[in-house]
Amino acid sequence: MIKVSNLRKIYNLGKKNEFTALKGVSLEINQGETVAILGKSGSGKSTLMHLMACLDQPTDGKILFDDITLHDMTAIQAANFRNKRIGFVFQQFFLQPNLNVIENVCLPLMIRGVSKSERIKKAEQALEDVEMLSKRNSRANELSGGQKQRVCIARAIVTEPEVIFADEPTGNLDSETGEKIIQLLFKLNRTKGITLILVTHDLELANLCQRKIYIKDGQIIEES
Amino acid sequence: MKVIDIIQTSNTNLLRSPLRTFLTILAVFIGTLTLTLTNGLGSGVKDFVNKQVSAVNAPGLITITPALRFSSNPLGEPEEYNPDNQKDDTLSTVSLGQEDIDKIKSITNIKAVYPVYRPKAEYITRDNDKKYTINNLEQYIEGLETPLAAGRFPDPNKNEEILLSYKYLGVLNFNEPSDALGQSVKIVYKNILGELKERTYTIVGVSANSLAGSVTRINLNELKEISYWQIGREQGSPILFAQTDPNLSKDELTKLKQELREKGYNGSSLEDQINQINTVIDTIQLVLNAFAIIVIIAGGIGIINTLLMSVYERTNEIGLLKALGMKEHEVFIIFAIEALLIGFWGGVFGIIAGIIVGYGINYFASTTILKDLEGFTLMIFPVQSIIPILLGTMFVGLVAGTLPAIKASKLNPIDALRQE
Ligand SMILES: Nc1ncnc2c1ncn2[C@@H]1O[C@H](COP(=O)(O)OP(=O)(O)O)[C@@H](O)[C@H]1O
Ligand SMILES: [Mg+2]
Repeated sequence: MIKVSNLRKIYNLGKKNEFTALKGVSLEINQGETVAILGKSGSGKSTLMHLMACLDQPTDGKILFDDITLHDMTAIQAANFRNKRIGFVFQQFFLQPNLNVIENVCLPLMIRGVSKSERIKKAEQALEDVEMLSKRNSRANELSGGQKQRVCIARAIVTEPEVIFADEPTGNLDSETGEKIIQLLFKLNRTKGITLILVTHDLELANLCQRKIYIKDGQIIEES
Repeated sequence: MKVIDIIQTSNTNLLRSPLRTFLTILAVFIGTLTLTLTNGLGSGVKDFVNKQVSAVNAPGLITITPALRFSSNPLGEPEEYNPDNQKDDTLSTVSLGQEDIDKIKSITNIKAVYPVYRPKAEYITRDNDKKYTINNLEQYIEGLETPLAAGRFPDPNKNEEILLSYKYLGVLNFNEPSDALGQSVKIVYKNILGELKERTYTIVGVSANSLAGSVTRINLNELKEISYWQIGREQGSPILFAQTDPNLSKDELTKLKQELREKGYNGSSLEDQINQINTVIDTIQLVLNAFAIIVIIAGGIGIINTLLMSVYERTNEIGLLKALGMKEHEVFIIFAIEALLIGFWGGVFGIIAGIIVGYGINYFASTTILKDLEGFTLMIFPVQSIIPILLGTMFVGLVAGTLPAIKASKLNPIDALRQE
């Protein structure tokens, strides 16, 4: 599904603060897999994820998503691609504070141009899937960390994506809540067949995934 | 994204910090309020002046003044004396006499030329008991039409007929304008030797109140006689009136004025005078508007400031929206519409408040300073002057929103999401 070959990313190329974050990474991820990208802080995990999720352009190398070469797309194509095929879950949630829960979940569908009645129907279904339907009218900042992350997951699955990229989804949660969030993500992987790419530095969580990819200083040092 | 969703997103964003939005709108509001009032005043005054001036209906009447030829350069060298090329440096040397009248009469399309006689009257009275000064005595020329309160204009051949000013009705003990008709009044004049002369007139009409005041008119010939008696000779006149065919074409009129100019006179029709007045009002209004527009532009800078702050605060959000698939131009439009809405609401509230204040001032004015001027609404707000104001504030908003909107649309989602 995703095929990364010899990927390099240099930040601030040609400037004084030039920094090579990825030094030639190759990997392959198959449909329906659960993959953990492991490594210490600053090792380049997020950088790799952003490139695979078509949020950024590589300096060198190639990413194939099915038959599409990601960095050949125009900005508008990339935006449509992310909207239709990818779900994001972030450590910092990034819920819109002025919108309530259901409006937050509706956002990607609104961006897609789906009609209001239909996006509410889908958002309610997604909230049901993450057991948050009872909070549909709450303000985002009235929720606990775990609840916020559930809403984020609902926002990620409402578009029925093929892949979910979760960047340290438990980073702001206590271990018990984090465990539940991870279980939720795995459940969605099993029931909906969504490929799950989990970026984490927590070995325990990573062990729950089918595959683990260890990164250090911008290079893959181990795969299992 | 759907257009309705874009507009709604902009609107929701504006309501997030209501106080800040309110303060930003306030600047535009004040500017628009001022602009509405200055425009309303300009329209009101112009409307009134035009009504008044066009109420003086004198078809084909042209006012003639001497064209002044000033010394070419007051700082220049003295010129050699030439009796055929004298220049008039002061108005006091200018007086139009019989020679000028003959010269002007010879121009094609001019039928008649009248000088202006304004003899000074001592007083007006009905029964010699109470005497009142009368200093707005003017001549009646055939064809001149001013608003009447009652009756008709004097017959040009009957020197004893008078058109009485509305103002004298009360003091002369007439209840209604129509009561005065057919009654007689006496006007007493004094000559340079101190002799008094009493003339009795029959009131045939009463002139209505107008911006120019309400004047008493007596036939030209009568005033000419009085004037001659007062100073013992033919009197020069600062202006002359020329009667032309009212149906002259524009070209013929232009040619006529050109001929006048060649002979050393300026001719202006009533229309020219209305245009001149309008130009003056327009200029004053333009200056007032300029101040209001400066306030609105300052409001625009406020919009830039507010939106830039908001882009900065919402960096993460914008990053997220772009990650979720929002396109650059959509981000741009959302911010541009926010700016447009600030301009729009500032404009709408400013105009509404302006009209309310305007009506308040109108009410106040009509019961005090403008009590006697019928038909004068100090401020009027025609739609065709309101719509451009609203479009203008929206335009200012849009222009002001461009910079922040570009900044927001160019945000890199990665950089935005990495913040925190
Ligand atoms: N925009 C950037 N400019 C410069 N350096 C960056 C930028 N983004 C990330 N980096 C650097 O790249 C390295 C890898 O970052 P990141 O992929 O976020 O690591 P991780 O997610 O593993 O903690 C870090 O050293 C970070 O400082
Ligand atoms: Mg990271």
